[in-house]
Amino acid sequence: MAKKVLVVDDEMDVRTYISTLLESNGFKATVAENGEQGLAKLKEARFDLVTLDVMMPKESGIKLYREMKNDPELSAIPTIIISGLAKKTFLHSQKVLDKFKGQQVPEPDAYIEKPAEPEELLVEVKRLVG
Amino acid sequence: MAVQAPPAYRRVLLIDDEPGIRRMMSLDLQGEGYEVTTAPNGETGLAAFRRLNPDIVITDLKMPGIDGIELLGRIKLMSPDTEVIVITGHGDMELAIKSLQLDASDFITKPINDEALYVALKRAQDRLALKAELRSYTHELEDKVAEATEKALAVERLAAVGQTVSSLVHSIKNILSGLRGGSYMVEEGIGSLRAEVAGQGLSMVNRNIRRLADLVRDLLTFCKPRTPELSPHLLNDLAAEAVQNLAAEAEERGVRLELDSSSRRAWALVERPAVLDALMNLVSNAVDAAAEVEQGRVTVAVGGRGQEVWISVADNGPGLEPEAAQKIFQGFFSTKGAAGTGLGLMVSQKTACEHGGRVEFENRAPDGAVFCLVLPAIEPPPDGGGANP
Repeated sequence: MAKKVLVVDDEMDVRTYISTLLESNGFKATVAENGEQGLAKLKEARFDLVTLDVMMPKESGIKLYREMKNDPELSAIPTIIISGLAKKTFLHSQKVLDKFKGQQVPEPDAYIEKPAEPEELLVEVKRLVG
Repeated sequence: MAVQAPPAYRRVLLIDDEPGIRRMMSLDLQGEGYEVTTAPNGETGLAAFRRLNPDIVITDLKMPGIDGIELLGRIKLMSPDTEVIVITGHGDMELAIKSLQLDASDFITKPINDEALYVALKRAQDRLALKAELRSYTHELEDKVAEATEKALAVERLAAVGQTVSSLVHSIKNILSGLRGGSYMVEEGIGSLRAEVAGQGLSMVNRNIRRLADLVRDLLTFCKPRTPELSPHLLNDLAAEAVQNLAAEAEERGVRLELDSSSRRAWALVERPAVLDALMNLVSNAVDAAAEVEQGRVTVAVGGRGQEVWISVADNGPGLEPEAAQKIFQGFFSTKGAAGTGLGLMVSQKTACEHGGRVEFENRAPDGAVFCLVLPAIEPPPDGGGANP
């Protein structure tokens, strides 16, 4: 059965691109436009993988990532961050939040800086759920 | 801290109506290295003070005409830092206290004891030296504060540049993502013989090329300081043109875009292309917002009050979230994701400012928002606006 991937990104073009890439390679993609929608979809159905943008209106990827990692039902789902932010900036903001909130959140399973190359993304997706 | 009285504080003005005392004291003081000028009464003393600006004044209290107390008050008014030592008769304790209340440095009693006089002079000199030192510290501190402020401003400017560059990089990365995604989809569509995927990819490429062109245009407009070439225009014509230019786009997005034909006529001095661009920016934003709701509607109207006229653009979209409402005039902030450069509103605001106006907005979330391009009003030109193209 095809593995299910949730693609969360506020840019329509990126959602279309990543979901087409995944579907063309045998995965089943579902899209969400922001963190809030992403969390709702994660609660509705079971996913094998999440690709997550960071800077989005309404609810950012940073917040959704922390919510996932603090939810026992969702924390085991592998997550690939796909962002225009540099990886070290993302990790730094997580460390600051760790300190501030007093809760340790693990590093994402993969981090890809935008623009995401299709081959690079597929390698990571297959590594995590292939 | 021990303060050595520098020789600079040795210019003394001595005022006493008794010639014997003046003569005797000035001889004594000169013998001790002071530069002494004498005056026989308050009036002459004041004139000498204005002329010489001495470091220390020694004055008798009881004198005909301007007495010592009045003289002390006047000197302190002119020069609060001058040290004034008063000479009182034996038993004039009340006057002595009054003089201290008026900020005299010290008092000595008649008959004058040399030692008491020199102690009083030495204390006055010490105080003068202290005040000078304090002034120099204060100036030094002010210089240091100014220097630190300058440094802090430089850091702030650098931070602003850094933020702008990082926002710009983020916008470019988003556009690159769209281009990369589009080119992938064209390849994938051709490779798998799925024309609709290739077509979608091509639309993505074209859309992101337009975004890049918009970003470059907005950046150039924003970075170029310029003075607009103004001529009188009827804002109603500009409003009608903006509506006409965006009618097709609005229809495609399912938004009813209309011009309020009951608007009053309003004139302003504008550079037509710049203001039309700024206005189209506002209308285009409103169409984007209205497209998010069922039966989206955008109304463009012209208004005015007192010295100001405006073109308002009202939409019935979802309005602005509080965070967005605070940031919309900042560069690279966009609520529109792929659709916005994040510079449009800043460019409109800049154009309005160049025309002596501004862009205002009223957030009616969740029932939409109104943006107003406000400009200084002018009287209708006598030829009825013949200059308009």
